Amino acid sequence: MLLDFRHLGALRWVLVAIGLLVAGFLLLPVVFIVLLSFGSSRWLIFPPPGWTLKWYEAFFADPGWFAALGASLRVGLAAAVIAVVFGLGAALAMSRGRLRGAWWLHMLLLMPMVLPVVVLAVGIYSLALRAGLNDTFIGFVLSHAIVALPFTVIILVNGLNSFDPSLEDAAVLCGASRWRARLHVTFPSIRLSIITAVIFAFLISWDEIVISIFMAGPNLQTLPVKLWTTLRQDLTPVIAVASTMVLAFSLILLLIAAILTRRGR
Amino acid sequence: MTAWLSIDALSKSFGQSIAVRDVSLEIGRGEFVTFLGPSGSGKSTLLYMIAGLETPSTGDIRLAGDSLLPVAPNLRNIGMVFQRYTLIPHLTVAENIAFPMKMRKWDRQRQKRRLEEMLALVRLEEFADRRPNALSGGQQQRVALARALAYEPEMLLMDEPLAALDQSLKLDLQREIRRIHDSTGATILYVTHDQEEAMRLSDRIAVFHNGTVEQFATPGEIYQKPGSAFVAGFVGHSNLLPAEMFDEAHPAVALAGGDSTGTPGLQPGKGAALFRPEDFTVLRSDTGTAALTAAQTGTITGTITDIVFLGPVVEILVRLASGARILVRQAPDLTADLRPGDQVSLRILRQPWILP
Ligand SMILES: Nc1ncnc2c1ncn2[C@@H]1O[C@H](COP(=O)(O)OP(=O)(O)O)[C@@H](O)[C@H]1O
Ligand SMILES: [Mg+2]
Repeated sequence: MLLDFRHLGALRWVLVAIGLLVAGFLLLPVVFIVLLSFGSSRWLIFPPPGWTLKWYEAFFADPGWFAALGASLRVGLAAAVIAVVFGLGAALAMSRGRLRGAWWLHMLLLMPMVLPVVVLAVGIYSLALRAGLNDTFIGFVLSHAIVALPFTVIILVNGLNSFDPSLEDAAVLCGASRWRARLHVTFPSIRLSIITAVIFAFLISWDEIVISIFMAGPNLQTLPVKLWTTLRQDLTPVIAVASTMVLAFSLILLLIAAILTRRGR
Repeated sequence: MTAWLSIDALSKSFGQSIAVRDVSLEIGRGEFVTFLGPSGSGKSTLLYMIAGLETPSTGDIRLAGDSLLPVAPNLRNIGMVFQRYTLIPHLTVAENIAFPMKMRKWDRQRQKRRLEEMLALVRLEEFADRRPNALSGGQQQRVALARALAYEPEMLLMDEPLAALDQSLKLDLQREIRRIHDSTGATILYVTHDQEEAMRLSDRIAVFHNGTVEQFATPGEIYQKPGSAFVAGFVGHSNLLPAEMFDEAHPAVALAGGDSTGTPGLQPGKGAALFRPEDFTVLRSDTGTAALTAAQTGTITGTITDIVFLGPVVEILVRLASGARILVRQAPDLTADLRPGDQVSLRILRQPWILP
């Protein structure tokens, strides 16, 4: 290639420098918040005058934070399962090319991804008000599943498109009904896509804030909502702890997803 | 042979395009039938309809008198081997072969016994615990064959199972498939676009063209008495010469260029005479082989335009006075003194087949 990195001479050090700067710029807030969660200063002074774990103790001692963490985990898991089950159904229908209007269905399912989140949030809010779903577990789960659905559909359609349907046909001729063939052959073959879809759907719910703010109430709030409301009242290092928790969990899941996709190739 | 599988006026269209049009075939129990034809001629579509993976637009398929169409594909008791490798990737060879027996809830003892039989049949005993991706293409297709035969299906369908394999492996597996057909007595429907493969394997061949069956006959008949110019051209090389048949009292075919050849039992009329490349002996005109007389089966004269050495045979291209070209195959030792440009006589060894 003409623009081969090794043939760029001095220019390549400029590129390396730009790369490092961008990476630093992206990572700096993350490093900052993690360091602050261990800092001893009540006022979030940087660099911290000393190191401590007392904000972590405070986080786990506070039932409010703990409840929010639990709510986030439960909502994320349930939303991920729903988004993947429905996403799998839609992907099966669309990837076989027999469905009329498959293209329109695909576009419809991708809508939540392109729609401005606030617009979607207002819509879901007014709908949830009518249905009495505000401030309920089901309300959170359904609204998060809607936002996660486009991502699970994309991942699962890709997975099914790279799966040879003759494998499923062969299993059917071996005597398996269509659904048994899917269970025994298709789903195990695309299991990496399914796991990746679960992880991404969970992550989308895990850091969803706009719709969650509309949904939340005294009964139920997820971790990002709790972070947001706490932040508006008082700036405590516990917020840095909560942020670090959100971050750590996201990183771990992303890492798992990355390992799975690499192994899938 | 009485019909066991009847395909009755079967058609299948995909939107505007018609993949299979009005095909009727009667196939006997235990027969090895090949669907032969160029790519896109509807062979796979017909096979898929028999398997139940495609639904016919019109027509019927009957097995031993009963229509197969209302039967779901997983209940049709048909085995199938696909062109692409379709073993279940996360199961071992043994688990793959046992899969259809498991689906049918056979008891363990019976499964185990049959599995051993099948592994022995395709000679893969020592590969039982391997995953499909640790096998070569030929081995995978042998496992697929064992899986398709494991539950003793009434019929085995194969859609170009050897197309992706190289030539020598192909020959081995063709022999193996023949052996399995002989030892199991299964009815086999086999799809291929390879005429040699069709000849080698089949009891009867159905030649497909544009979604229709042009001819359904034994390999010998297909080759020697093709039912149409398409069949003549698709199976083996054909030299077609315009011909005129005289009345039965003077049985002879007048060929373009003035030559004629005796052909008893023909209806008068015009048609095309089919000569295969091995139907001639090439003789140099100037060697004075005057032994040839018109009263014998006849000769055609022409000029050699090309000679190609192929090992067991030499291909000689001869241009006739009329401009028609004839391809002749000869043993190499008979052609040592021939050169392009030589005037030759082609002595006709066999009566030509007159295409209907
Ligand atoms: N699922 C399908 N949708 C649309 N057209 C198809 C489909 N399957 C086959 N065809 C068409 O039907 C014709 C016959 O195909 P096929 O039976 O696969 O031929 P063959 O097996 O002889 O190569 C082809 O023109 C092909 O394009
Ligand atoms: Mg085909």
